[in-house]
Amino acid sequence: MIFADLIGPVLTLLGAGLAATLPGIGSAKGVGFVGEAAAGVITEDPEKFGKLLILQALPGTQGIYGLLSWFMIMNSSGLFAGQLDQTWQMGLLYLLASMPIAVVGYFSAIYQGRVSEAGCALVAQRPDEQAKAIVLSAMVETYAILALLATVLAVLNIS
Amino acid sequence: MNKITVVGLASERDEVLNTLMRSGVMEIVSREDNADQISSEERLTIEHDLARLETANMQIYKRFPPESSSLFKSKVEVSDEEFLLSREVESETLTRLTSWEDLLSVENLTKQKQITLQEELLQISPWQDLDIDLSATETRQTEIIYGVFLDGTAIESLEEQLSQDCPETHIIRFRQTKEGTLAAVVMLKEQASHTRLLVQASDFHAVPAQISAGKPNQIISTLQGEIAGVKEQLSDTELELARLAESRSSFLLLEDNYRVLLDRDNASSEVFGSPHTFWLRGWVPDDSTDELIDELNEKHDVAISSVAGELSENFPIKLKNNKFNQAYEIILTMFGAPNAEESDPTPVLATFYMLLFGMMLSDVGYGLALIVLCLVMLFKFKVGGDMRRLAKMLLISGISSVAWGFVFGGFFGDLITVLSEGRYSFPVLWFDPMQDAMKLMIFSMLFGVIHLFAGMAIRIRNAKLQGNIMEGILDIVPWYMIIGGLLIIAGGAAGVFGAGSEIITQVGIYLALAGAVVVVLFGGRDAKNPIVRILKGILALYDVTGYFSDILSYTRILALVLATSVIAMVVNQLGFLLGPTFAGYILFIAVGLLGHTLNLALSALSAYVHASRLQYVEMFGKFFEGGGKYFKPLQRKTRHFQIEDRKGREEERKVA
Repeated sequence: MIFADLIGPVLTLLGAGLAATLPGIGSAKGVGFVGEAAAGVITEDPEKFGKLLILQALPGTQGIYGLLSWFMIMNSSGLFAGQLDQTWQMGLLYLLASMPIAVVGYFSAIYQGRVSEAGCALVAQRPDEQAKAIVLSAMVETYAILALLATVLAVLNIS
Repeated sequence: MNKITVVGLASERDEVLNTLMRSGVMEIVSREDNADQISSEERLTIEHDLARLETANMQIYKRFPPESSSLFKSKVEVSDEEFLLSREVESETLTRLTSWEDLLSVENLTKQKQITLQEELLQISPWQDLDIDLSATETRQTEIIYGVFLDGTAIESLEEQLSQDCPETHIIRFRQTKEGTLAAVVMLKEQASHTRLLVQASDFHAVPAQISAGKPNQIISTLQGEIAGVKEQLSDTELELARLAESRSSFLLLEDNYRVLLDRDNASSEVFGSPHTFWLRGWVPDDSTDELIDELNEKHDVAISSVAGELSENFPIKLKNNKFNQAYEIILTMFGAPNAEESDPTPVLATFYMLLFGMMLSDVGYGLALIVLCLVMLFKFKVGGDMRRLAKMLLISGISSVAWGFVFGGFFGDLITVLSEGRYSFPVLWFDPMQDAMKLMIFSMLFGVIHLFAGMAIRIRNAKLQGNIMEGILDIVPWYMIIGGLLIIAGGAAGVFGAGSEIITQVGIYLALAGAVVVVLFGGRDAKNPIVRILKGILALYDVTGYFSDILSYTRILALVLATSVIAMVVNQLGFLLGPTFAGYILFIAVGLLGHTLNLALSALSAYVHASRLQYVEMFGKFFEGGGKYFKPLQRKTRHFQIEDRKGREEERKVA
């Protein structure tokens, strides 16, 4: 098999890989920020652990959306079944389809992490207002969801 | 809500407040003159004792954890009579509290002593078995010091130095240990000060005077004896403390008692009065008014008046719903309180929250797991307060997830398909979102339109409550026409209506246009100038973008459905890597348990967060004004005990 034959699968894997990697890095950063802030609050009041854990989990969803997109691309391109017959046009399409979640997932996870981090301060002072901290953070996630939809719908329509 | 005024004799004030606290149906209106609350001496004592009790209870909890400690603390139930403590019991408990505190400080001192003794033992132990008397520190002509040279080489240079400065000084080496060289330095008295300086400069550490009273073995055995004594004392103290900790419930009861007492004291500072009379005013819900008045009249010699509250007074809000809707009140209370002139959106919110949550977590397996979890929390751990309300809400939402799971055919993702290697699949009642994502996206948005329309209907109902229903109709109905018309046009373009498509599309166009005309004509109706009014009306048409983005926001339903089922599929595939072998099934159980638990936790959190968001941002945005406050009646707020009412168990109906 010559290299030119592999361009299609390579581009497809590149797309899938970016979709899983970039939002994953973003989520790791976001969850990291919140974890640091939460640990600070817990030193003062260990009982708030449960409430803070939920806040910390919020910026983690982008990583999941990335994995979801990876799975959709791998599945729909046939790479899971071991087929390596994707044309370079198809590969390029998969790469482009992965862009929304790769880029938006990365940045939105970081910004969502920041909002959640500020939410930790809110919960530290007013534990009853945790729901509001969650909703503020979830506002950012909307755009990751929209990007995920863009990627998924594009992948489903490439064939 | 009724506004109630009570006038009575000052001597009966505290008793009346007790009755009010017990009934728990009145919120006392704060006095407006903001008189400084003067802390009486008694109050200061109670506050101080409360703080002491809190500390002691925390210490007892940490030191002697209760055997059946669980993640969720539930309150112990006591009867009204048990809760009220007599003076004797109170002072007895306080005495025990004092002895608890004393024992703790004794224990601290003893521990410090133990540490000192152990350090001394450590210092003297290298001298063990040396047959010298450490207390012999001088003869007629000489002084002797005992100690350790930490640095062996320093001795030689010291000896050299000494041989020049004070040649009579002699160093006797006893033993080489890992700490250094044990030695005695014998010096002439007249040279003592100079010699000491030289010796100390050579890393010499003298044996402290307090432990050099005799031969080392003697000293060691004395120290060991003392340490044993201290240890015995410590274990005695521990026993004593454990005995006191057994009566922790009396500490906890007194703590709750003081808390209630302070609350009553706070309330009495809101009460007006003259030297002989008092009067207080507060809000009481309609359905408890008569009962409260009867009870007050029966027990006390007071005069009472009751006036129905006016809407414009913005009285406190008490939500009143049936059992199903009550479970969802927590979603509303987390957002805020509607004001007195608004209707309670809970019934609409409850129905849609249940449906939305169920759609987002649509999986029979996950739904069942959530139900079991909530049942355990409710009936095994008997959680209270917010946790209880949350568990009830999630229980109903879990049932909805099961229903939607059947609709979309999900049972732990595609667990059955994977395990049977494709021979069987979980039945799908409607369609599989994985196969037809576009279809679910369209239905998500349609569902969103219904949700938004319901929210807009509340706006009309609120306008009616406020007495200008026309306002509501003019604001909302044209948008029903515009959005409805646009939907019909879109449906026509997609060919949903089949043969009659052209005519129906025409109807849609006219409907939308008629709606737009109404918006242009009435959207700026507060403006006097007709030109400004029309311009404002045209500007109001721009709201269409808002509606558009609101509807698009519901596509998150699709994303969450996909996220839940795809991650579940990934877990199943990973688990079944080894195929249908014995080892394969073991791996499957391990991976499945871990993966599905994680996915359930994250997906349920997402469903909770995003279902809430669709209520708060999209639906509430259409009608909610807010600015009210919740009814907070004067009641006995306890931390450790649940007081049973005479009428039976005091229901957990803390005004949500």
